[in-house]
Amino acid sequence: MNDLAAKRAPKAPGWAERYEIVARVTSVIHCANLIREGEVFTFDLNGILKPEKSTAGPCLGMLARIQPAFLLAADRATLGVHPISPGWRTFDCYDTGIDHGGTGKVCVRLELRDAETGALVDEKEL
Amino acid sequence: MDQSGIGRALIWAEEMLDKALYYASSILLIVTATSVFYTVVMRYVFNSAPLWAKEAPRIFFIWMTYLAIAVAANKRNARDAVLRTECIMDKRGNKLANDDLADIRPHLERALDLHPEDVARISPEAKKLLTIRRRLGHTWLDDYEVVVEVLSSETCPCGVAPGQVVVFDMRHSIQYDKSTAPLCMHMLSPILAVFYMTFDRAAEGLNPISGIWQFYDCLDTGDDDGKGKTRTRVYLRSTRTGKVIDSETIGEEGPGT
Repeated sequence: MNDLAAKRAPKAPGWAERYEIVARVTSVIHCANLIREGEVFTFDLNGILKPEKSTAGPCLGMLARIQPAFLLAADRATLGVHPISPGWRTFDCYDTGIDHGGTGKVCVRLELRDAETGALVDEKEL
Repeated sequence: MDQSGIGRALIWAEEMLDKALYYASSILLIVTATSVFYTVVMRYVFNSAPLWAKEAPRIFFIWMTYLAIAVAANKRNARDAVLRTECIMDKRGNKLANDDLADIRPHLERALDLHPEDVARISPEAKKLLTIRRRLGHTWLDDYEVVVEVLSSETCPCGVAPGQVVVFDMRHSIQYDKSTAPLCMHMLSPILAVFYMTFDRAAEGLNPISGIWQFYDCLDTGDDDGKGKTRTRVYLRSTRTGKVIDSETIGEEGPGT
């Protein structure tokens, strides 16, 4: 393993398979891709979308904005702490919204879930 | 009550009616299935068919069909407003006089939950975006799709391999059934830039895919200083025939040509 690979190795190697990141839609205003509040996008910890566990329309305008969360998750995995940053849990879509030159606006909030049971995993349980 | 108050009340009433029709048709489906099952059992097991055995399921079925048609038509109408494929047609299929915001406004208000004051708040740029695409044809959003093809991925840990594709519709939504690559956000997030350009270029009547920004790479630098990054090529193809569309052939397959 080279230096970079060693540097990037997660402290808890089983995490990628054990958990998944769920982005739950918390608000929707005039979304042209008809995303609804309460729908979810589900990803593995590497940032791969799981269509079978996602209920929201796979709009890249929303999905692309979540990408930094997977860099954060990988970074935090090397430290052995909860993969979701407490400071960066909420993301919005690329549309600037009706008051700022756009039309719609969708916001999501990230949750960590057990991939097998779907149970919410908070900081204390990890 | 002022005009916008009446408008909101009507929208609320319409939503309630839509929900009522939806639940009524769902209940009727259950009742129809149950009554048919009941009469079959009574007739063939107990040899005693109820008097209403013929009439009731028929009536339930007819009512269920008409109520469900109303629900489906309403949803389709709302969605089409966003898709911009039919809302510029009148009921006879003729093109409306002006392909502009005034034409699509009633459909748009319903589909995107816009109130009249919301429409007034839309910026000139966004209004233009909603009424573009005259030159490519009003069905361009359905005529084409964007293909992201993987060209190389030497050490990708996500299982992305050359030749795999991710397919998007022109509303930048992933088409699961047509995609073969893992839906890795590190690879796909740079592709968002493509869709800024597709709308911009379509408004000018051009091939929605830029002639110069067709190659992208993923955002994960990998463990080898970026050498193993996934690289992709983006191109446009016909939704109907699968034919690759370039600058020369753009517009040949769409009805707006």
